[in-house]
Amino acid sequence: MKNRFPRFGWAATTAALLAALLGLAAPAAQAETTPATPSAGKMADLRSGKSTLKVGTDASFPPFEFTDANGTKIGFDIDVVRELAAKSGIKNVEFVQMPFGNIVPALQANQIDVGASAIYISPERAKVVDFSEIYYPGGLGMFVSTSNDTVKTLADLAGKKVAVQVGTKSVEWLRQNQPQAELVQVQTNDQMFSSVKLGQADAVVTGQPGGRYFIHEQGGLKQVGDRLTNENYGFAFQKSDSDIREAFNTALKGMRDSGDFTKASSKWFGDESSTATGPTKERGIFNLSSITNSWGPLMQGLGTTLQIIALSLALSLLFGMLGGFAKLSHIRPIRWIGKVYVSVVRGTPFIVQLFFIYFGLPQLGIQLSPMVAGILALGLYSGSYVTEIVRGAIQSVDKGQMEAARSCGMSSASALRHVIIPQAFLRMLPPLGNEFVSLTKNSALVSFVTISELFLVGQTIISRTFDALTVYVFIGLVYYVLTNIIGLAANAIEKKMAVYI
Amino acid sequence: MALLETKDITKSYGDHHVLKGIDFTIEPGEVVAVIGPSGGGKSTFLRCLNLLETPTSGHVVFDGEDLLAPKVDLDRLRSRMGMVFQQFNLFPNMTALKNVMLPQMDVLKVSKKDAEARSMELLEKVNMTHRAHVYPNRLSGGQKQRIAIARAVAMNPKVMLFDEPTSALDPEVVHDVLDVMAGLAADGMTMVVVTHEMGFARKVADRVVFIDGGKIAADLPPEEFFAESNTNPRIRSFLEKVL
Repeated sequence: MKNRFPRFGWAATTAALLAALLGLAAPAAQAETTPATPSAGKMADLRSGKSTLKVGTDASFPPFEFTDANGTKIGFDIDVVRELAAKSGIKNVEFVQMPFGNIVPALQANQIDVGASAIYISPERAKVVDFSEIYYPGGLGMFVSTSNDTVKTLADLAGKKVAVQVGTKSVEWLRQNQPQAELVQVQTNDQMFSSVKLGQADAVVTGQPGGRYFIHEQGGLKQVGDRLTNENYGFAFQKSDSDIREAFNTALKGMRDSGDFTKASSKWFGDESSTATGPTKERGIFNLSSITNSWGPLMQGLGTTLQIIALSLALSLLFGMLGGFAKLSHIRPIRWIGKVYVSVVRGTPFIVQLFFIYFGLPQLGIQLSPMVAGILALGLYSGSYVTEIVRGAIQSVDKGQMEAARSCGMSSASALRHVIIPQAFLRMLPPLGNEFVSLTKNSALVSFVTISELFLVGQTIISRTFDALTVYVFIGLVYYVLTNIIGLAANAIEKKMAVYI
Repeated sequence: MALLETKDITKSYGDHHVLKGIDFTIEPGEVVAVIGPSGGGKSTFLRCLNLLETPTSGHVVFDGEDLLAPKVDLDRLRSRMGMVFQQFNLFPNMTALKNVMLPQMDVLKVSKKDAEARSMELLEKVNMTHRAHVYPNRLSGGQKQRIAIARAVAMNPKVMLFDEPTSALDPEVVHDVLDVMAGLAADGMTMVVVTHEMGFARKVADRVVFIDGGKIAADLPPEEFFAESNTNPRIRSFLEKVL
């Protein structure tokens, strides 16, 4: 074999491998295995305050669950769950933000204890989670623009665009009962109504209470036809948590008997009989108040985003260094590990990797907190690109450099440290800058695993203000500033280091 | 005992046989000039002496140790064999002084203070003290090569290997580098020099080794090698071209 520099001896490669294992072990150490302990012990811990009841909710569905201007979760479900938990003797309750479609998987993965997010009790869901008694009778309703006179009944939806929220019951119901409707599947509740207001869809089919609340708050839409279904909301529990469910059922009955339940209901839904189609509220194109009113939560989200970027960037560099050296190792199996890492991680979508780590790994007993999962996923993903950057930069250093160092008697590790890596690092800077700009932008995707970073905070603000334009422009600007800072920093470091070029 | 010895080394790249069995020895204090036509295997031979190239077969024995033995500490042995390259191979990311200091500190574990003192001394010897704190990109080829020589000498090697040290230099600075090398030879340094500088071979070398077609075709003192009486047709035709 022709001399191929740089070569790494066993010592260097073993050290790299050890570091890799430690790097992987660190998050794994924080992982808790799925508890085999019986639910009774869990209930005792909840009552003693030793553990916290985690309630998964998608706070973009007023009036059931949404956030106020300070970012605090409020709504009918929030009030009722707090009351039920208190009545059940549970000391600490924490609401965890997640997209609606992730709530049932999160229960199965033991990420949360309760799902409280205006969830319909359906036979499909009941196969994998258990439900409380019915706490609120709901049903699907049909909503159209106030100016729309053509859609009056379910039959009129044939050939029309109907906005529905991904993962909700409306999707399957429409497919069965009005297959000729063209479904427009959107991620959040507010996007459904917006798409009708903006002409992207002709109608919304969604839970009647949510639709009425929107009309009450924003106007511009009206309900048409009768209730499409007569269905019921329940709180969802893990199959193994029957005692938590029983306690909630008992508490629910107590709330009804005492009249507390009616109070909570009228607080959020007002007079059930009113079907007012409120006036369309006038407002400008840009509403700075949408930002200023939520300044605190936005800055908190930005802080979380910065934390995610910093930690995943460090992890990305670590994985990239290990991967790059692995690919350059003269030990075949290690080279192979590097190749597989890059080919698998670069060859699959980031969002799939993220969901695999957060929702998939718990089935193997590896349960990570959202932050750890998000940072690990970002670091792994970006690290695969950094691997190629590191490999390319090291290979681009003239092989005479390694020869000169080795011919003085320097070990390959010393040569790498003092001679090769400093030169390679300078060459890495421009592509690393690009990669970290990508990482910054990708960090918005970890909102999918319930991390309240900038993008998710923005979405929750929109679910309350229905002002997508201002909020997305603002958030886009923040990311723009962040990515430019990274670009400028990379340039500045390069300039400073390039004294010898 | 010979300081450095090769026993029947060969080197092949696939079907391409560059070295076809070379036996060579050098005694302490000797200066050997290795000359011959391009592609004849001179540089490959030199690079086999400190195992920058691994011979396909044969033995390389340095200071009584077989470099190709399985458990040999190659780094330790290489630290006692200085090497100077055609393209200098200075470390561009450090100043001239740091280039000379690094191997002493890293390999010989010399303190920073001592390494700096010794390096400045050597830079003085090669007339480069005024450029000590300059990065290599600011140096001429001749200056770079003198610093590269200082870097190799700083390790107190028992033998120094030169791989066409003046081939990449402008003609007017070649003699600066050759002067430094002649000075080393005068101080008793053992040297193997692959070169096209016939004047150096004639004046400074104790022996001239002529490598052609992967074999040593002649190994003679310079006065015999360059004498009219040397009628070897390959050597005659080579000398006619280079002189």
